[in-house]
Amino acid sequence: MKTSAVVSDTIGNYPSTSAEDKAAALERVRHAQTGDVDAFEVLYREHSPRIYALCLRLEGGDTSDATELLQDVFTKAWRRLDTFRGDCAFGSWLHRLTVNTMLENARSDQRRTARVLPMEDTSRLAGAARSSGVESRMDMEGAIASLPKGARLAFVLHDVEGYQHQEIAEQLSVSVGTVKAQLHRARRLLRERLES
Amino acid sequence: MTHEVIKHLLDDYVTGDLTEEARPPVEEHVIACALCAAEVESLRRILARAAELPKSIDPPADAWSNIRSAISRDEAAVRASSSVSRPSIWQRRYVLAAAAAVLVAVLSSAGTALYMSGHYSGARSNQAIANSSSAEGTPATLAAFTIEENNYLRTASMLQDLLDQQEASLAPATVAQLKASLRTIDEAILEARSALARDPANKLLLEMLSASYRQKVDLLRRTTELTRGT
Amino acid sequence: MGRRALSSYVASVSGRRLIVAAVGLLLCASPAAAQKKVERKIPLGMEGALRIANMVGSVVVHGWNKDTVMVRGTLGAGDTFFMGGGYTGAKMFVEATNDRDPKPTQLEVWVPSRVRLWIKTATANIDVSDVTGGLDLYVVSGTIDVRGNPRELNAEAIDGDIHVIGSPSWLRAKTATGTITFQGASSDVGLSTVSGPIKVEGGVFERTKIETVTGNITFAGKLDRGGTFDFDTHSGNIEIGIPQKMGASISAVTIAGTITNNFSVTAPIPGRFGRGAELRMEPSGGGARVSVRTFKGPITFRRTK
Repeated sequence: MKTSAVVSDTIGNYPSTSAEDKAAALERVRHAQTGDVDAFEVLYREHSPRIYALCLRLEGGDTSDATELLQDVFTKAWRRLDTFRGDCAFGSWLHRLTVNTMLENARSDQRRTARVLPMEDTSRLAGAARSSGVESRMDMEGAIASLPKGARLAFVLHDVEGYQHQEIAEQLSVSVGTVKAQLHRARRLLRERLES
Repeated sequence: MTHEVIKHLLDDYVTGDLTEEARPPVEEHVIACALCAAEVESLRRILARAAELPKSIDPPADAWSNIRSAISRDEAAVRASSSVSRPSIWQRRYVLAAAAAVLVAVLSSAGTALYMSGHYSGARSNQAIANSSSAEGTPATLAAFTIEENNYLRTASMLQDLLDQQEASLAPATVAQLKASLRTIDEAILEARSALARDPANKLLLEMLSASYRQKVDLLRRTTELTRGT
Repeated sequence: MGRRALSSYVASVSGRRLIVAAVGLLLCASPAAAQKKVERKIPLGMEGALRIANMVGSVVVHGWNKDTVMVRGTLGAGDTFFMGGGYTGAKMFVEATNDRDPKPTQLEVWVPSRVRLWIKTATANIDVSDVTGGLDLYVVSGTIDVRGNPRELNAEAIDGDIHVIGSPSWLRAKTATGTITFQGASSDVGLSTVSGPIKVEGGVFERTKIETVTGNITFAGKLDRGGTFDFDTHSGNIEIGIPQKMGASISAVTIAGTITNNFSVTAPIPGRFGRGAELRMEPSGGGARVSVRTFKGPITFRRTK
């Protein structure tokens, strides 16, 4: 797996819990919605580390692909900013946009290159870190990156990001049963790769 | 339930997704079955490690500049695709940005009031509103509000100026209705302001005044946006 | 850089725009004066985005379950009709020969029901039915009529009326002198006028904020137990009907007006310095929270069935 520069180990600030936090967060978005790119940059600085972590894991640890996905997400967020109504936290909105963008990109990649990435395909692995002496967190990131795509999506969204089965099913346009099956598969593969 | 059945329920057992009825037999089996117990422990370790992964990772330093370039290129493309002869009906964001740039400039220079001579009756009453404020020492809340009020007045004046330039694109009846609405709001503001001068500690009055100013600025902003390209 | 070079990344980003793009947008112009009727169809995804602009005349929109946009219309003399776009986003607009004296164009459009729809007119009336996606509707002095259950509805006018029948989950409607009427239910409502009246009745409401400067407000909906309801006016009449069996925590204040309570036996008390009035009611079982504030507008609470 290509190494990623893990600078901040802080857990993300989702969700805002206090009313003042929520009001201030909404104000920052409203400011950006007036067309102020500098205000949008403030939002980028606030949310990009969380989104980048998600991009990295969704893209199997490939930093170049993750960076491109991050850039796609924020460019799209800028274009669609006036559709954000404040019904949910801005971070949650960005989070969903990230997953949608990743899926859209994957679909258009398939059309563009006429190459299908089957769920079973393990040839595009970013590399599974199984050698001893590798720090346990790096093993875990590498192991996640090595998962087949469907299993990786389900695991990252549910077990890392905390989405519910139903939410994942809706975003990926699959059934809850499929999500659970992919989760089960991901966990089994991770156990094999990390503990055997 | 047999081992063959229960081994498929271990995921849900570990994540707490089993129903009330299903949980006890699975738990009983896990205690008795070494294989399932090992699997449960292993699952728990995996999930614990997943939960410990950093939720934030700093992106590459040049990502923002690429995003900013993409935004600039997109907006240049939009401007290029709208010619002079075509109605600028797609430029909502730019109208908003223009008016908002004014708003931001005004709100960031708190305390400097700029009253422009009126094109609309509303602007003249802006002056009257400003003059009606008490000259004597006032409680902190009113003083703070006076600064906010000056900002609203300045913003409203600047938006009215923008609207002046577009007045010709509005039907006369609509211009008349708009002026009437602005007069209505200004009269409400004057009444509330007079009441506040007599009762400066009245927070409800301050909130009502703020709401009226907000409605005035909102009406001017909406009209400016709607009339661009009509 | 990864799979794509930066320049192709930017180009591909531009190429995927939903709205106005320099690349990939097909525009079909009708010949200037010879053709008065319009009939066109283009594919549009069920959740695509569509922009419609027609300054004078009418825009009537129906939601349907096809991934196609179909438009039929009659152009004003000298007007030109443009339509184009891709599967994820399309637009149509009418361009007048003489901007100072545009002739009315009547458009009737069928759209995928889950579309994200943006319509702008000046005096043309907008009428939308059976769209469940998002609606952004803007008129200067036309009327906006919406029937159905859009997920989101944002309607703005200067002196036009806005009428909604249905259950938008999220609703914002603003006009200055026009009337707003809403018959239905919603979980998040914001209605605002300057002098126009606002009338709301119907099903269950949750978060509701209604404000005018001088316009009258009449509300007769059902209040969700956990809902919050804010009514503000300077001098309009506010009349609120509360269902008989519904508990609601009420806080009403008027600086210089009057409060009449025909809902319960609690009497209003004089306000600050003996002017105006205040009324507070707290039901034992809790309930919706209602806040009413006026400068001098009279407030009336009445009981409904």
